[in-house]
Amino acid sequence: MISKRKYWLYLDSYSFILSNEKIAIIYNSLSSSKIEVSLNGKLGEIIKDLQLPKNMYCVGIDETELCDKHIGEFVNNLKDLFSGDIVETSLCKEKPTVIYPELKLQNQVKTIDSFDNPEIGRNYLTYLKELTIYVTGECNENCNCCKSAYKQALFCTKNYNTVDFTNLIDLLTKLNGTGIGNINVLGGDMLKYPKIDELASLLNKIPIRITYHIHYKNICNYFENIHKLTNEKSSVSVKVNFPTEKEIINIVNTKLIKQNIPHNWCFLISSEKEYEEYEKICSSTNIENTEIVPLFTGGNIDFFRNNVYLNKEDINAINVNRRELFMRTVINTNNFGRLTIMSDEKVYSNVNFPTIGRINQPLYELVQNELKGGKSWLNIRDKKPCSECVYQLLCPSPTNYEYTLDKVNLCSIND
Amino acid sequence: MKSTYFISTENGNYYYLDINKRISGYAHPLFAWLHNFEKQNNTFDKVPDTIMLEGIGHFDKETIQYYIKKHNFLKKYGLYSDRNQEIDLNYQLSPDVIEYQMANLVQLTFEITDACNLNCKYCAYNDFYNDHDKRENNYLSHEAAKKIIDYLAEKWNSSLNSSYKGLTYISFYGGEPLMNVPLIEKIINYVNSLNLNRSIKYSMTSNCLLLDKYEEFLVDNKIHLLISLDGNEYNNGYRVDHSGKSTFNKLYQNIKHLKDSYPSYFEEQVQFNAVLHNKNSVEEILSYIKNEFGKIPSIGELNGSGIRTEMIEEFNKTYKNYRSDIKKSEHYEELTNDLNVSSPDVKDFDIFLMIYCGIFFDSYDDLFIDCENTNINKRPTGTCLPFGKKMFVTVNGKILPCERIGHQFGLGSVTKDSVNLDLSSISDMYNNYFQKLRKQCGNCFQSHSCIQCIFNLPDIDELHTKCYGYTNENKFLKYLSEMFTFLEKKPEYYKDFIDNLVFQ
Repeated sequence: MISKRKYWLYLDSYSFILSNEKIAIIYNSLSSSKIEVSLNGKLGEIIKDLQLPKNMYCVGIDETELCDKHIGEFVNNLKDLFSGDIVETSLCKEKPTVIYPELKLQNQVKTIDSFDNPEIGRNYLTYLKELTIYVTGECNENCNCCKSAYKQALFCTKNYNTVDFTNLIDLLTKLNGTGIGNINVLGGDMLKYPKIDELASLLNKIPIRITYHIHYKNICNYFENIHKLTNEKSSVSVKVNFPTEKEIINIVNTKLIKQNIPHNWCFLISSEKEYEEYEKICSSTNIENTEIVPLFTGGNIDFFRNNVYLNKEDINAINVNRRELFMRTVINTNNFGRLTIMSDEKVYSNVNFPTIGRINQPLYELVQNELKGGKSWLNIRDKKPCSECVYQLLCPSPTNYEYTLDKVNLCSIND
Repeated sequence: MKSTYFISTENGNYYYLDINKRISGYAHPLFAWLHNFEKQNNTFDKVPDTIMLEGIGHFDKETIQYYIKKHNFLKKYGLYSDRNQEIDLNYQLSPDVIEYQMANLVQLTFEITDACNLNCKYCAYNDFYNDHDKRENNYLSHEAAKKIIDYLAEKWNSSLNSSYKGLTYISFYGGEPLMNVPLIEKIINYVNSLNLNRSIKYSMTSNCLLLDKYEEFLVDNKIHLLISLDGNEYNNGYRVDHSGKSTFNKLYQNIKHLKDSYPSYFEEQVQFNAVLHNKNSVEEILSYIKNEFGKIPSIGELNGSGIRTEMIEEFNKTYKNYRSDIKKSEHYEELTNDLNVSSPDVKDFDIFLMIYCGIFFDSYDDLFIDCENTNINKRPTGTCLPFGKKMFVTVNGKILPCERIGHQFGLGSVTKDSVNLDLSSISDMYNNYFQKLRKQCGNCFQSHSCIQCIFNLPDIDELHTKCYGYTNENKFLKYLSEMFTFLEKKPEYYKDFIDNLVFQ
């Protein structure tokens, strides 16, 4: 009797097996190639065996199994995409072992009990990456999106509060030792902040990038002094919502260019019509450095379905490397490390969730509050239907749009 | 230096590892052969149509072409590139960094007294060594202890402390710390009276000869106890009193009494530490302490630095190497399993997984660092930053970065009146030492995972300093081969590493 040839089938350590109950994807984190397979039948058994820790990404198959149409095709795909390979067992004295990609994050908040371990709190302050401060709520404009846009994107919002300047000074002196690399300053009309010049002078002295977010209609009154705000590490983000006044955009653009103020333009878009208008503005005013941000108004769900929701094609185009994929398993990459201070001096890890403290609390206490009881930094795609979706880790972390629409996911695959 | 290495294991399997991308994988023998072919300055167009690898097999053109394509694929995604510079050749330690380390100090150790009721032959403060202050049966002053605590408390409560209730151990060391319990009590009471933004835990290293008098004190204050014991009575032969008599029976009774009287304290707070020498072995130490007390001890070798010239021969007779000793044992596998994370092989493998495999991240913060595509600005050598792990205050008020280094390396002092730490001078001292070793570190293949402390290099104050941790390419490949061999022998350990292990 002729004995069958035997092989070791193995994956490379940069290949992830992403799976749910029915299907698996072999995701190559170098090239982002994907092989989708059904977990039915013999091939399904092989994939499940590859996932078992004891097998270390390597299982035995024989010649007959390799002749199976599905298994043969799978092996060919693995080889073609350099995500794995087979080797005759006769070439190996010992079964190959592969260090499969599984995150070992030593100090993480897995359960509330973690907080008994003081190591969890070690170097909390370095977690902080970005601070957003709404210095005042005062503003003379009456935009229709005033109460909604700031919950979806970095945008101004109007109210009757103003941050006490001494509290701001105290806060800024506490940033040494944190990981904060960006500070956003907003209002209302932040230019109406009573100590705006003093604040700008203070901010310009600290080695952190500063962005002043100003509504285009508010900026006109401040042209004489706008150069005081910015230096080589700071810039202005000009906010625009529809309906727009094109003439004002033109004036603002000309003046910012003339004064050599580093800036970009941020347009809120809630419909295809607004998008067309945005394109017209861009071509007729010569404004550059523009970005568009979708705005959910409550009545434009179809616009969101067509333009914001992810479909399978979008997901297939996603490229994430191993580290980014690991990040998505434990943190919300949109929110982690970000704090927002509203003009009433309440602090938020995300303005869609309850406050986590006040401006004058120690920063490590605010971080502790968020990690222990907050809903933002650690909010990942671990709830149904995402938790059952094979694309769970490829998909970006939940965004403010999910919170605004009160939905777990914004995709057409599991809508 | 190129970033990708191919390694063969004891079993003859091949693996590749890319240092920059922290990616590894099993390599088909032909794939490994092609790597070596290219490494010898050949280009792939010179590869023959068929290849016969002796003892392995014959490979056709199609197979050869496939592995050339795989090589090119990996190259396209950053493997086989120039190895990133791991050492910041211009690194300069600054006073700010030292200040930050103190504000986040992990361990403050007091040498409570230099008096000891034992006279162990191999003691770091005994005849073998000349790098310590004279032992004069002194006691640390309470005022000096308070001064240094106040000095640090100010930093712990400043905005430089980046932790929320971060853990600081306050440790009592000697001589024999139980010979000065009143001072320990005063220090504990004082620290407990302060409002600190640190979680404080107390610990002590003791020979336990006075344990019968003070066990209640230790239990009441939840003092973590590290008991020095070298195994059974014979193994403990160097741990004698000042008249040369064995103290074993008394120690045994004291430890047993503690275990029987306070079982939960013993379970949670007591650990053992043994010194390996020519009167014991890893196997004997382990089996005795495990059987008698149900604990797995940590085992250390005799300190090899600061030895008197005239004592070198005697030291060599007494010294035993941990790795050689454990490998000589007939029960190597069982020993490694019992020692688990304390086994040298496992410790090496842990470091390998942490540094080279791209799966280990200490904190959320580390996830934001794109190590794959950036040079890591690691300082030269494996020396801890001053006070990065601990601060050691001697009985005479000398301040050192660690109790394991010679007293000549004092960084400052504390008296009853003041703390004298000149952070600029400390920075200069470290920077001078780094300067001496920069070039060797820059050429070292294992600089990523270096654990060599500058203070343990015997000629660190000489004009030319040789680093004993320096690793050339061959030594590095041997190291990698040992790591992949370990992985093949103990594949189940990887999951244990992922799920259960915590590293300080």
